[in-house]
Amino acid sequence: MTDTASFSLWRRLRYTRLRDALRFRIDGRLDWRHVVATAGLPEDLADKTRQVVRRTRLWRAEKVDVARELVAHFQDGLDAGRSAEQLADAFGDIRQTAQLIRRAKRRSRSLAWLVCHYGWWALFTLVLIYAVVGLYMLTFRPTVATDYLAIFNRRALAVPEDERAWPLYRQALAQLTVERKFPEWADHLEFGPTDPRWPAAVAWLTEHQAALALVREAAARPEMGFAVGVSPQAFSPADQRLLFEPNNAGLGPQTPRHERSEAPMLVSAHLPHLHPLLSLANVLAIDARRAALAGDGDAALADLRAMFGLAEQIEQMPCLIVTVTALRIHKKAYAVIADVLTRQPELWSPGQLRDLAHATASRELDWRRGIDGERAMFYDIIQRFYTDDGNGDGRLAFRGPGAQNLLQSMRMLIDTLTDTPPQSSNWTSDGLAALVLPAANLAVASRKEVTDAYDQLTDRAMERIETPLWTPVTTLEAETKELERGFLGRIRYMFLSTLMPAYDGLRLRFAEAEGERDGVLVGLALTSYHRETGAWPQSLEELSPRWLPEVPVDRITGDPIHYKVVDDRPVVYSVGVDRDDDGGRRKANRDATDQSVPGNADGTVVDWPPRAAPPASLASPEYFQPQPVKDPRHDGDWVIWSIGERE
Amino acid sequence: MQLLAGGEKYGYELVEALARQSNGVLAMGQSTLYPLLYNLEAKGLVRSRLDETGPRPRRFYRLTAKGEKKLAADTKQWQALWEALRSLEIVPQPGRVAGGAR
Repeated sequence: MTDTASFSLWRRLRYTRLRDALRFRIDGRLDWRHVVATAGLPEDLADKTRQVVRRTRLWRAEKVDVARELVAHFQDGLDAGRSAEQLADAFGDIRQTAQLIRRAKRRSRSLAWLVCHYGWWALFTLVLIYAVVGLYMLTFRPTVATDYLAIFNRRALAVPEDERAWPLYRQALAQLTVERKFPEWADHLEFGPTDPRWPAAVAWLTEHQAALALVREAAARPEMGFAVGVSPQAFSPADQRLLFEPNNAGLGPQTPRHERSEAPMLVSAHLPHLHPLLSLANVLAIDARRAALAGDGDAALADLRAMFGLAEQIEQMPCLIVTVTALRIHKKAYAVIADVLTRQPELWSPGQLRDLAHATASRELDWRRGIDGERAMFYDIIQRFYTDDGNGDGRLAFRGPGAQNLLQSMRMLIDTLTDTPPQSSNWTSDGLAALVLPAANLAVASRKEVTDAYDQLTDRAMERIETPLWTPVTTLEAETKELERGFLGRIRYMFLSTLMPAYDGLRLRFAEAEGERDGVLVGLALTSYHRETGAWPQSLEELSPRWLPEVPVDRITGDPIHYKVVDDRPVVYSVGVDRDDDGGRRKANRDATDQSVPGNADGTVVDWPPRAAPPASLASPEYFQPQPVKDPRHDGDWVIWSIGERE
Repeated sequence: MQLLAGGEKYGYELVEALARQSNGVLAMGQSTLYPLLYNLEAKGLVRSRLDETGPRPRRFYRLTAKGEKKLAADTKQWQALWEALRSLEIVPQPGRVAGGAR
């Protein structure tokens, strides 16, 4: 085989269709140059043909068709007596011809090819637009226009140092704690005189009366005056020593405010005073019981007043956590009042009972302030994640809090909300953040949209909290789910699902607290009545208005609260979620939270201290239904006040 | 398309016919014909076949039914337009040519 022959064979193979080659038919039928070369055209015309065909850039089979057609055209022209020059002149522009032929031939291609071809172009165009938009979005930066932490602390910092309660609490805490810890019994919620540690506790309390006097003095001040910060460094050295473990990495010299690069993020604020103050309230409760047992009604009353004062001061900070903490202190105070009245109904004078009733009635939780704080936290996060167009709208920014990219910021936010230590991740690189940013901006609601939705849901939640339990309402959870329907809905409103507090549970908690307060007020009125008349009233209406401004309603049904006397013991109760009057019999199958209550195992009314229905049953969905609940687990009443022997 | 109304034709035949029937007025760059034919074919107005029985392989074009319909519609439209132009004396009346009476 010669070189030429091998070249020809190779060339033929190159221009043979695959299906023919597989059948060993090496015909080279796709070789359009061969068609032109073997046509015998004058060189000028052959060259024109080659140029046109080559410039069409069509598929090889299409080129062969075009070549054959043009060759036939010129051959027919020559046969008709035209000269090669005439044909060449009449032919027209080569480039334009090739272009037109290419367009026309491609239109004849299969639908599948056309779909693929234009599909790819469309995809390419989209990718190009995405890239351009993405590059533009890299310039998106948030504007932290409002220092919400400063607003959060404004009230505390406005109080002159010598009028603040916190310095006195700090002084007292320093005396009452050892390495930031109270005695172990101080955090035991059910700690009482029957506990073997009681004598030791009494001795400890007696020894620390000077510190407790400081606490009472602090609680009498109108303002707490405690400002929070985002790191231990933001607190004074004295607060650092008292509130943070010495090995805390954030401890160090206080950072002056003007040296901070940007306003600190409100959601990262530490509330290190809450737990010590909650323990302090528990110590006051135990001391009140100690004082009562010692026959010192004044001291017991002073401790209760201090508890109410402390709860009010704590609640001055606009944050739901502190609202709930204040609620817990109230509940503890109610329990102490009930306990003292059971054990020593003669301890307090009628005047003291009246004062206590007034103090109890006037302590109304301002949960709206807490919700305002949650709203501020939301706005603060939004202003750090979104750009600001000056009209309340904006898009997700590439750089968020602390100049971190969007993914890092989201990670940090979730870590902060879930109290997870920060971890490095490959999924938060700048490149990936830049890649997802346009898609994220397409999928996630705009600043205005998400803020409006948040405001609307929060306003509705506030209305709902004020709505009595006997009025059926849709839950916030249901409304949020409706908004976040489907995968895209969840992405669109991801800030809502991440940042919207569980307001449904709060409605029940507040209703429970109000029910308990109703019980205490009725209990104080009943005690005063009994002290004066030596008997229990036939109905609660007899208490009003002298001992009780008005008889409370059943917080579950809206009907008048139920009252009866069993074995010379008054029982005040709501019918409970089953809306069935069981004569003041508590639910037999209590939740875990009720198991620690002594004396109520037999399901009778002698339970003590008075308890609201446990949160788990309050949170049951039946609460949202006006119909009675037949579930046997809910059989029984919600006793908000009863007096009886115990232990 | 009108040129194909009389039956199928191949490329050069169409070029010649166009030049002849229009007295050279519509003579075009001959290469332009082929993209036109390919476009018509892509639209389904003409169909082609390769004839290899003659002295050389030639591709013949003929109107499809769709092409015939289109031609009829276009012709009608052109006639209407022509009549309108003539009534406005933008084009000469029958029996007259521009510049004076025949």
